[in-house]
Amino acid sequence: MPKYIPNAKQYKHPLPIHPLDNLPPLISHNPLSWVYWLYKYLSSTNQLAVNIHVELSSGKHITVADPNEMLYLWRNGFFGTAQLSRSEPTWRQRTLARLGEEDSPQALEHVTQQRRLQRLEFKRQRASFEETKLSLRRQGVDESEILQQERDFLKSLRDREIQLQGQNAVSLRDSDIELFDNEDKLKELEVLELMPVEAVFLTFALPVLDMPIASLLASLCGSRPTYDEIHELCIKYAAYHHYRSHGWCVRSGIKFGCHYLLYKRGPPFHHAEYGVMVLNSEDSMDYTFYSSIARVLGGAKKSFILCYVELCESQDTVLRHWNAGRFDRVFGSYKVGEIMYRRWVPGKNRD
Amino acid sequence: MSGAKIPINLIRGSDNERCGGIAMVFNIDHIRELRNLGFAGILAGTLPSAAQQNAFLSVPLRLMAEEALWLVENGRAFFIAGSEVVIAAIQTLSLQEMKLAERKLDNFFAEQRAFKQVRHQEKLQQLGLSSEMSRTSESLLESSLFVETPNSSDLIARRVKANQFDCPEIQRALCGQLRRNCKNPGDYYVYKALKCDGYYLSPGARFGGRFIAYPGDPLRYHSHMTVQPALNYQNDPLDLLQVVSGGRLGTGVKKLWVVAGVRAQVEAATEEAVSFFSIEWAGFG
Repeated sequence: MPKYIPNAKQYKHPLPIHPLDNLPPLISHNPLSWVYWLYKYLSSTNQLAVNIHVELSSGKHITVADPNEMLYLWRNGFFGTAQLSRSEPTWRQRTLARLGEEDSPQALEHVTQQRRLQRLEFKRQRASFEETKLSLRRQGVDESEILQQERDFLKSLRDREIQLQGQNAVSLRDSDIELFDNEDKLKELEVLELMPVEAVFLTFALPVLDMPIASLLASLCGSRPTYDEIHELCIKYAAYHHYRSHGWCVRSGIKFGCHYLLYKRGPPFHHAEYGVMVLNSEDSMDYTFYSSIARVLGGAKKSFILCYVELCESQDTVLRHWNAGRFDRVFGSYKVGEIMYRRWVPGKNRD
Repeated sequence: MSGAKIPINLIRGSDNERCGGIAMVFNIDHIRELRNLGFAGILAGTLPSAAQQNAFLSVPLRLMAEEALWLVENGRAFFIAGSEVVIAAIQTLSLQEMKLAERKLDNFFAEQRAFKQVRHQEKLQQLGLSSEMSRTSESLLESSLFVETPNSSDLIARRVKANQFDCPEIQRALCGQLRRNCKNPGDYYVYKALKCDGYYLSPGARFGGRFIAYPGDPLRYHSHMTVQPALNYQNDPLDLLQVVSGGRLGTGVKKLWVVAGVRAQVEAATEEAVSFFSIEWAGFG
């Protein structure tokens, strides 16, 4: 069993680029240490040794395949979504654990599944007990007797639960053999997919991916795009960059029917606090649009942020900058403003 | 009463010319009749000085534009439009009639006074006190008189020849006006199709939809479906995010999230031209 690493240590850095953290100690009465420190300071860089390799397929599908790089992107800012897992690339580990090859701590997906099964089983048991209770009542059995039976029943459920926690069955399927290559090693099937805005952020704002920004944007929007073709990406990116640069961890909000979810530090630490919908500054939607999103987010205890992105330059100017490769000017010509929408129920929002 | 057409007033908002009017029903008997026909509507009456909570609202009953259109098209009701009619009717009132009405009110007060006095005497006798009316109790009595505000005026109702509106040309024109003012013309076909299947429909903004559909009277059943604004489903896009949030919302409130599609040639659309698709979020614990 690997040693437990606290989240705060494992996810120490909010972005893939770190501050210089390999500087030697500076000893104030030893001038030699100053020189050495200065030398180390000037010679070291926080650029990645090797930029992360990304694959582009069918233009807009951006993936990272190397397991270490996947993990690196996840651990440093929670970028991307692993395609066979919930978010974090855990497929390999889960599969090995399932096949009994590796003694691993339980992945989140596994925990959820077990909880659901437990809950289902509990509901079934409870329903059957309710029936017996009803029949006992009909027979006129004493109420304290029924209460005693109920207590016994709940205790038996609890005992069984404790028993089950110890077990961890290995299950093999016939098709599992195909998961292994010729050298009997598990194939790396899982890749990490990046949202287009994440890929742009990791090339344009931070030098992390091994791809020039111009070619990435060309493959996302076409080589000589019209303004309408770049508009969607531009406003999404302006919003994404805005929140990332204010220190939020921004992830896709598709699960909750909005564009982004904002985490204070990241998914392992807290639930997302906000759901963001990116809109044009002049957008005006049907009331049902706002109310349905706000209700879904409200049900998950999140606040709904309407993020309005306004273009401050003319479209032609933006397009000219785009074609000249001045993407800083392109993304800089947008202004971001927010409105928070919350459903307020007097009876439920007293504290 | 049943069998006769129900008058629906189209009240024009003050905000714009374009508005075809809001369909209101003022008579309580008519409201009952509508309920039996499967139209719940929404009670909207309150006093400006003492605004009421939803549960305590009173007449008039507000109908959705689709409901009103359906009623008129099926010959169950007819529209009355324009405040001019009412104003004209008021101007024809004679002094005599006004006096009559006043006398009626006075009689009503006198009855109340007499009744209250008798009750007062009885009470005093029970308590064994002298049965003399003091000045204070008289003024108290006077202030406790009950003034009834009728939901609709008998006096004017008799004057307005409501039936003058009940001719096909006017009704068609008013229907057209109301329909033009509907934001989404396809909604009416969706409404018709669901109505045909026996659903009770209410406005669905609370649950993020155009309608919510109940399998029977809303007082007896929870609603089963949230129906989205009608799409021209061969051409209109359906946003994936909308499907996600709709599916989640529907599942969260235990309703089916329904997307209704109307085929392109809306002019000729009948019930068959409407299709329904339901979306559920699977795998919730």
